[in-house]
Amino acid sequence: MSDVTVRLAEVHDVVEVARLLTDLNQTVGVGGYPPAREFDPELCNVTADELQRRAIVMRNLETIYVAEVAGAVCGFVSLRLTPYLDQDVPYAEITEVYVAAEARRHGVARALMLHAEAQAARSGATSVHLVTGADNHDAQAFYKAAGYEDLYVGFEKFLPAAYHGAPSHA
Amino acid sequence: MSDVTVRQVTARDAAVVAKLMSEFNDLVGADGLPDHEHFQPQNTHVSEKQMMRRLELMAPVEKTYVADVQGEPAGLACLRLVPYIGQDVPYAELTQIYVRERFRRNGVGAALLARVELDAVTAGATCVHLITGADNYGAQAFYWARGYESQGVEFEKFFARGGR
Repeated sequence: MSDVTVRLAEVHDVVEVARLLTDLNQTVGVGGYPPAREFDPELCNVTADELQRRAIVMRNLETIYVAEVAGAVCGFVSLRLTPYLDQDVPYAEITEVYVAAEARRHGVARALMLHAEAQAARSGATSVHLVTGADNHDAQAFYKAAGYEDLYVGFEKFLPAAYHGAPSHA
Repeated sequence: MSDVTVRQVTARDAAVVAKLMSEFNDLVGADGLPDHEHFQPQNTHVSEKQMMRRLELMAPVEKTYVADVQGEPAGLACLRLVPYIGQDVPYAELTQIYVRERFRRNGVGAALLARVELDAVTAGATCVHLITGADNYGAQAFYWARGYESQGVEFEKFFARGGR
């Protein structure tokens, strides 16, 4: 296996990460939308400009890290660290993790997860959370092998904006 | 049903929030910790000072609500509203909801949830997310009855357990 490097995403990665996020959206659907809309190309396709804008407003809350193999970005992970009511230390959540299809089975996802976990631990968090699809058995097996326990179920309620088109905050 | 009022609270209300949260922790265990630490008093008990700091830190990203019944605090809820990578609108998550035992079956939980959903809609969110215990069937029935669907499994990795 080639060496995998994980590092903080930088401004020049925005095109690659936008492409990976678009791939991810096209694979699993855009979160927060009902089945009838989650594969809507308008929602799935994320441009570099959109991603950059989101990264700016996420600053101090959610951080994107990228994986490189042989100098090429082939995956990313996004880690949210937020204050919460339960503890004095932050709540840590891996909100996205994705590896390009051609780069799979080389330990890239594992390297991304370990990096995000180390960052979460460094912030003082005592655990890290993530949500995956109830029917995504491959992902679930991967998380269990990585030391995660499936303790909770996730619920969603779609609000009127999900059906009528979400306003853009551009 | 008694009159339920829901109000958004701030760090000035830390005393009541600390009391409610400590009670909640005593029932379900403190979050983010492995089993053997869940019910240790130093983890479940939250002081007013601790809660004041938490509420101050949360203010930009998470709203906290207290429900009162006839002037007495009956429950609490929190709504996290954060920018995220997935969309230009905020990610909305109900991160807490607790109703004191003696105020249950009075519509307090429903009133808190309705307020959370209203504020999520107002913020432009397309969805309210939440997680609940895989074995908490009572809570799951409550959410199904209020239009929620279960599509995800939530995983947690405890750092203290030697996972890394």
